[in-house]
Amino acid sequence: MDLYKSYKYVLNLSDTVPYKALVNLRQLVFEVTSNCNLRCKYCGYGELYNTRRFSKGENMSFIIAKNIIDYLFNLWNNNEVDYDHRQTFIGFYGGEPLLNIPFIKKVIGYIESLPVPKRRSFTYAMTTNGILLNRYMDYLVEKKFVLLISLDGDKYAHSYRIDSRGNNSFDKVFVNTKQLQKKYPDFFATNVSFNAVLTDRGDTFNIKNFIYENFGKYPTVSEINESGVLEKQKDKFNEIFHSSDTDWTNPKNKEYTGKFIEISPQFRSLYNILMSLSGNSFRSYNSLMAKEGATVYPTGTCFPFDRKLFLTVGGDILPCERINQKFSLGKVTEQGVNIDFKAIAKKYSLYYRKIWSLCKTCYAKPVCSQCFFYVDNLETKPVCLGYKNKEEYDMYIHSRLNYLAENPDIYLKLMRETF
Amino acid sequence: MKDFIVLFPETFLWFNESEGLFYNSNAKKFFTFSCNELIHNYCLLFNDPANLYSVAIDHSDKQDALFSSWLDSIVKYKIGAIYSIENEEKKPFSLPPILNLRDEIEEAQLDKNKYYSSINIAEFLNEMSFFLSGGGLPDEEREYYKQIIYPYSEESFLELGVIHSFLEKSNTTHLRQVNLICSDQLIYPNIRDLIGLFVTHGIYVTCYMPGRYTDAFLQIIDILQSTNFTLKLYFITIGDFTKIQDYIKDYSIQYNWVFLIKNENDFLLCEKIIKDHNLTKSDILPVLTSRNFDFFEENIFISRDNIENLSLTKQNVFCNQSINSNYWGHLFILPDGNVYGNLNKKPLGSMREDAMELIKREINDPESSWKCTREKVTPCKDCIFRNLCPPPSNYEFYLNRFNLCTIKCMT
Repeated sequence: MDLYKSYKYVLNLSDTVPYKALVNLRQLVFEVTSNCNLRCKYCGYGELYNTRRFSKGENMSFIIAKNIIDYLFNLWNNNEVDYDHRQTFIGFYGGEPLLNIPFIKKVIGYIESLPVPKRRSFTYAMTTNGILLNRYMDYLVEKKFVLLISLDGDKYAHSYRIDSRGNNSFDKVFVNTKQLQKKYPDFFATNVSFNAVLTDRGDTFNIKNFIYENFGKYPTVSEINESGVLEKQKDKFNEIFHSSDTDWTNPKNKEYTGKFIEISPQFRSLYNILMSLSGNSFRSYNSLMAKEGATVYPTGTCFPFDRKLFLTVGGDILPCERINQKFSLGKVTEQGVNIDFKAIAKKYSLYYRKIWSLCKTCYAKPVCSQCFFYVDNLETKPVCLGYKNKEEYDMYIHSRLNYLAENPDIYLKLMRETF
Repeated sequence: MKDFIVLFPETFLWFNESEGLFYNSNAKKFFTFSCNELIHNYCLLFNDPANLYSVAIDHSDKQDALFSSWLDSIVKYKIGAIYSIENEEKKPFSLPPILNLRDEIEEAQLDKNKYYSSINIAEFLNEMSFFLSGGGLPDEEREYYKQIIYPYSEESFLELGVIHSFLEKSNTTHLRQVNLICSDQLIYPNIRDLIGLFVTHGIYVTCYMPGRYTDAFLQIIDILQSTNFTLKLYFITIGDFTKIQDYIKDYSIQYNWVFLIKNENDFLLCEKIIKDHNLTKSDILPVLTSRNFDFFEENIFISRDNIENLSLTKQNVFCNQSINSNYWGHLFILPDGNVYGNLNKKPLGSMREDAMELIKREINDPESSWKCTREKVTPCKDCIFRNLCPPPSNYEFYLNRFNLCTIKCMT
C-alpha cells in the first residue's frame, strides 16, 4: 500500500463542472419554512450556531420555487443527461416542512403538471420531526415520499427535542410513527427511515436498539455538528455533545460493536484508507480500463451541485443545507434565477488555492474527506482541523491498520462494501 | 520466535492442486511452482482473506525440500518476505489484492436498493460499429465479420434515417468511438452526413472500406479529411494499393492499411509491402478460414512468452478478472437493424429499441460477452494463467473454443 500516494492536484475548477452537475442534478431541496413546532437544543438554526441567519415565521414563496423549477426544467430539456436514467429527489426541508403543506402540495402539483424531461423521474423526500405526521400521512403515502423521521431514541434520549413550552416531543412522535406503521405497513417498510442525534442523554447502541425494537429499523445516529459553534456557546455545546467514539470504544458495548461493525467509525475510516491507498478500489467497470488516473482536487469537498441544490427560504442557493449561508452560489427571487457558473467556478478555484496553502504540506491529502466549507477562516487564513503532519498521519494510518489486524475478518467485508 | 511468510500486497496468487503461480504486479514478473499437499495447504491459507496474506511457518515443514525451495523463491523473487516475530499477537500482515469494484458490488445488491441505483448504464456505451452496407464478398470471406471488423456478408443497406432515430432514442453522452463499415465505397451515399453527425459531437470516427481504386473512392476523398477521423482500407490488390497510395498522400487524411493474413505467404507479402512503402501505421489481422487452423496454432496462439511480456499492472489484472476489455462498451449494428454485444452471439435486440435497454440485457446476461472472462470459460477457468492471459477473443467465440494457446496446464 502506497501510504504517501502522490496525485497531481488541480486547483482550477472549470465552469462546466457546476453546469453539468445541475444538468445531472440528484437532489433539489426546498427549505419550505423557517417555522418549527419544536425548539431542539442542538438545532443547527438555534442558539448554538453561527451558520445560518434564520428569521422565524418565514415561508418560501411559491413563485421562488416555481422559478427554480422552470429554470431547471429548461436546463434539463435542453441538455442530455449523462445517465441512462436520472432519479432526481425533490426534497422538503425546514424548519418543519409539514408546517407549510400547502406550499409542498402546490410545488408537487406544479412539477406534475410539467412534461417529464427525457430520462428523468422524480421522487419526493422529506425530513420531518413527526409531530404532524398523523395529519398528513395519507398525502405523503399517496405521493410515495421517502421519509426520514427524526427520533433520538427513547424518551430520555429524545428529551432535547422539546416544543415551545419545553415539553418533550417523544410521546407525540412515537404515537404518530406507530400510527403510520400500522396504517401503511408496506409504505413504512420501504419508504421510512430514522435519523437520531447523539447527545449526552443517549448512547449509540441504546438508540439503535430502541428504534429497532419498536419499528424494526436501525436508525442513522449522528453526532451534533461541531462546525460553526459560537464561541460563547462552546460550554453549552460541550455539555450536550457526545462523541460516538466513546460508545464504540467502550468495552461494555463489545456485543454491539461486533454486531454493528460495518457502521463503526473505525470501519468507515479504515474503508476510506483502503479505498484511497490500496490500489484495489475502482468506481466503475470503465475505470478498470482507464489509462490515466482521474483528476484530483484538494480536500473531500463535493463539487458545486454534485450532491444537491439547497434553496433557502429566502431564495439563497447553497450546495448543502449544512453550509454557512455566506457561501451562497446564487439567488432565486420572484424576478428570476441568478446562477453564474463562471463565478461559482472562480469561487471554488479561489477556495482550492486558499486551502492548498495547508494541503501542500499535509500528509493526509490522499485520504482527506474534509469539506472546505467547514474549515475556519477559509477566505483569509484557513485553519483545518484535519491537517496532519507526517507523524500524525503515520499514527492515524497505523491505528487504523492495527484495527484491521485486530479484526482480520472484516477485510473481505471491507472489500465487498460501498458507502 | 515464530516465522511468518507474508505475501506483498502487489502479489497475486492462483493455484490448483498440482501447480500455482505468483504474479508480482509491481515488478510485472511471475513465477510458477509445483504444488505438493503441503504447499497447497499454505496456498489455501494465503487465499483466506482473514489471514491477511500472512501464514505462520511450521518449522518442521521446512524439512520438505519442495516447500523449502518454494519459500526461498518467494523471498528471492520479491513475492513476499519472512518475518521472525516474538510476540505472536503482533503478527505481520499485508493486504491481499481483492478488487473493490463499486459497480459490481452495487449490481449484486441492486434488488435491495429501494430508491436509487447509482449504476449508470449510459457510461457503458463507449463504441458503436455500424455495418452500413454488405454483400459482394467471396464465400471464404462471408464470416470474417465475426472475427474482425469486416464488411457484412449479406446484400444489405442501413438507412441513415434509422441510424438517426436510434441515436436520438439512445443516450450517447459517453460514446467516444464510432466505426462505419462499408462493403463498397459508393453504396452509402449519406456517408458525408453520417461522418459529420459524429465528428461535430467530438466522437472519433473510423471508416472501414475496401481499398479499391475507383471513381467512387475519388469522389469521397475530400470528406475523409475531417478531423477526428481515420480511414482504414482493406488491402485488395497491389495495383489498387499503389494507385491509392500515390493519390492519397496529397491529402491530409489519417489512414491505415489493413492486411488480412491467412497464411505465412500473406504475412511475408504484407511485411514486404509495409517495408517497401515505408508504412508507419498498418493493421495486420489474421483471419480463420476452413483450412488454416495450423497457421493459427503455429503463429497466433498465445504462448507463455507472450504472457511473460504483457507487463500487467494490478489494474490490468483486476480488469481481466471482471470484464472482457476486447468488447466492453461496444455495440455492433448490422444492416438489418439488429444490435449485438458480440457478432458471434444472438442479437440483443433491434435499433427500434433504446440502446440503454440493449446494454442492460447484455450485462445482465449470464453469457454476456462483455463480461466473458477466462474465469468463466472452459478450460481456461482451471488454468493458473487465467487472469494474466488476454480476455477471450472473437476468434475463440467464433470457434467456440477458448484455449487458443500453447500453455498446457497440469490439471
